[in-house]
Amino acid sequence: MPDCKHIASMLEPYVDGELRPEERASVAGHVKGCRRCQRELEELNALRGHLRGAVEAGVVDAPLAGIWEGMAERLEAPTVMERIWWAGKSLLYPLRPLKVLAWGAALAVLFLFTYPRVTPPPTPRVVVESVESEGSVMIFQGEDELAIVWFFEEEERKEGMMR
Amino acid sequence: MKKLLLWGFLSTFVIVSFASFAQGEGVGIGIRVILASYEGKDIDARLEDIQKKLGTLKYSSYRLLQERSFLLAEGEVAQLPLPGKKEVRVKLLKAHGEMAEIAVEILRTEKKANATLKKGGTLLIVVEDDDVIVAISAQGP
Repeated sequence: MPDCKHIASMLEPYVDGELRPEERASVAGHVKGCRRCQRELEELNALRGHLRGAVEAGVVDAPLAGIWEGMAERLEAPTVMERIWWAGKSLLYPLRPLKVLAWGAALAVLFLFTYPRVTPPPTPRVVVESVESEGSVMIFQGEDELAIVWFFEEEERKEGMMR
Repeated sequence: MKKLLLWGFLSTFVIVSFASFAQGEGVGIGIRVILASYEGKDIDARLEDIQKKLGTLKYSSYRLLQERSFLLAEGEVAQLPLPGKKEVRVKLLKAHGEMAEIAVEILRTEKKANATLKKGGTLLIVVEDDDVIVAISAQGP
């Protein structure tokens, strides 16, 4: 027959129903014939009963209505911004990081190739490179479409040729 | 699918090559010889498109004496007579893209000018001795 010390260590699992059938039978048999272990088992059962009662009472008294209202608030229809956010997120969801990276690289290359074409440096449509003459020469370089080269007959007539 | 892509690539290459070749064939150069005067206020109707440009000068009347268009290849020359038994000679030195490098010379004088023209650009050569203006413009390939 097992001693009281060994049975005492098995009382708690016994109450919790965690023992194998033969262990359970052993504990039950010992408790029947041992006044000390029987009392200990009763105390343990009483303690468990008190604890269970307290927990159940707490659950019953809890403000469940308030909890439900809080949950209902969270379950309300999403706002427009939330809908847009979720729509965008669901669209992006199938894209794997590698695909996103590839798309980003492709867009960057496209930007690099098109940017200089979109903003070409302004170049005049006519540029006078060099002039030779036995007499006087005056060059007028317009902003864009016009350049004028004057070959003058006399030095004195140079003044007042332009408006 | 791969064959289709290959053919597409080849077709694009051929078209681009042909366009580049065609572009290098010649440059349209328009030359107008204009007689200017300080008398009167008549402006030839055929000069309407460059009237604003001519307005930069202080002459009051302009008459178009001759107008010719030339399709010049690199090294080719266009020549037109000017009043006073002179001539203007325009040589296409180099054409690259829509830019044309030209050399202008007033023959029987020492007057020369080199310029780079782009389509839409106009170079006015004013020969003050004879009140003659030579308007040279690039007309594109």
